[in-house]
Formats: sequence, C-alpha cells, structure tokens
Amino acid sequence: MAVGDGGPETVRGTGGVGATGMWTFLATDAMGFGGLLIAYGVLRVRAGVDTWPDPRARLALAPAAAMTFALLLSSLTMTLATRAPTVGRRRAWVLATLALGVAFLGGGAFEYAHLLGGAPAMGLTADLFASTFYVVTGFHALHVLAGVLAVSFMLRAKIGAQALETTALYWHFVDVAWMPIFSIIYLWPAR
Amino acid sequence: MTDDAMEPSPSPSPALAGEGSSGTASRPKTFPLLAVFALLAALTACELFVAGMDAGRAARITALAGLLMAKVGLVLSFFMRARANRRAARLTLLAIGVAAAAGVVLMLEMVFRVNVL
Repeated sequence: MAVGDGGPETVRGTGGVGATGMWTFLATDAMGFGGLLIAYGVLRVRAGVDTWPDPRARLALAPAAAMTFALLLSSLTMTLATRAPTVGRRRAWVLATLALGVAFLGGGAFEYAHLLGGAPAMGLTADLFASTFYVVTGFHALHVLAGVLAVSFMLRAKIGAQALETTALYWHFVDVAWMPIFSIIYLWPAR
Repeated sequence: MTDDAMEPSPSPSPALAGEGSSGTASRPKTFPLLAVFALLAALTACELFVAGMDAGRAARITALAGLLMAKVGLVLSFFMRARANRRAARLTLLAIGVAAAAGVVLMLEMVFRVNVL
C-alpha cells in the first residue's frame, strides 16, 4: 500500500514515512525535554531540601490542574479526529483540539501574569526555581504553540488522513511531555 | 494539495463504517478511548491527592512517579498507538529511557558529591 493513499493501514497509523519521521523527531525532542528536566533535578538536588522552595507555596495547583485536564481532553479529541469517518466530523474534532490547545496557552499566560505580578513577584531571575520553572514550562508552551499553529493549518487546508495522523502524534507527544513537568515541578514536594 | 487531502478518509473498520448513519455503530471504537481518558483524569486527580497527603516525602515522590509512568504508558499505548508502530515507538522510548537514566546517574552523583563535601 502506497503512503498517503488513504488506505486503512494509513489511517491506523501502522506505517508510513510521515509517521516514522515524526517518531524520529519525537525521539530527539524527548531528549530535549529530558535534558531540561535533568537540569531541573540536578539543580534541585544540589540546592538541598532546605533551600529549594516548596512548589505548592509558589505555584497555584488549580489552574495547572485545569490546564492538564485541557491537554488530556485535547488528546482525546485529536484521537477522535483521526478516527472520524467524514471530513465534517474530523474538522469538528480538530476544531475542538485547537480550542483546547488555545485554552492551555491562555492558562499558561494567566499563570505567568499571576506569578510576575504577584507579591513578591517571581521574575525569571528571582532564583533557581523561578529560572528553571520558566525555561521548562516556556519550552513546553512553545511546543504547544507550534502544535496549535499546525492544527490551525490543518483546519485551513483540506485535512488529509495521513497528515492528520502525523500531526496527532506530535500533539500527543506534547501531552506526554507535560505530564512529567506537571508532576515533577508542580507536585513533587520539596520537603 | 494531494488528492488524499481532498477526500474523506475511508473508515478504518466496519464498526466505524456506519458511524455517519448510525451513532451506535461507533461505540465499540469510541468507548475505549473515553475509558482511557476517564482513567487519565482519575490518575491526575490521584496525583493531586497524593501531593496533598500528609505522608513522607519519599513515599509521595515514589507514588507520584508511579502515577506519572502509568499516565505516560496509557497515552503511548492508546492515543499514540505505539503498539502499532513498534520500531519507531521503541526508538522514542529508548531516547526517553536514556535521558531518564542519565538524569538518575547525574542526580546520584550530585547527592554523593554534596554528602562528601
């Protein structure tokens, strides 16, 4: 079966140059996220239990949990889009995914504004925790933004099954990448 | 623009083939996805609960790490369908594993150095 002919194998995502290329890209991108989280872990361990701030004292969990929920839901809608039988339904699910991605970015922007405008303000250079927090979450937000742009393009163009499947892989990876960020940075207790 | 992009995708299975005309036909394929999503949401709620528990730091971190791995496994298996694309998925998981192992080694080394000093 040729790549991109829209056959059942393509829709199921079991092969294709696009999917393999995307998996390879995701492997390299995972190393990038891994490197940042390793840096966060090393700095946190090096700082010691007494000097590293408790994340729950600085970060609001409720908005972060809502953002997590939005990203999980967007993975579901994206999967439903790849399995939709008609273009109309596919477009509707892709639109829902796009809305949830934008909601996640909005939540992130709200969180940044709250942290930067709070008293005391947590600026980028406030301390090691602040620096690593902004770098890791900002790196992830850029990935979500890239995903939102890609999904927007899918909406503007006619959505093909193969292209949507490849984009969905990227979108799910963005969801997977957020999971350790949410767990390690927001939830792991400092003491 | 390819021809593929201009056409609706063919149904991946007989169960989905009738989705346009009958809503019940799609249930066998959609229900597992909804169940996985519900499980992911429940695991996230468990994470929030564990983080707020009055328990030891190490116990909470261990529990959170377990919940994290369960969530990642669910998304990889059911949403990314890693089982259907084993070779590429193995490559990605290998990269993640190498990064995680390197992190553990680095952190252990740092802990050892801090203790020595």
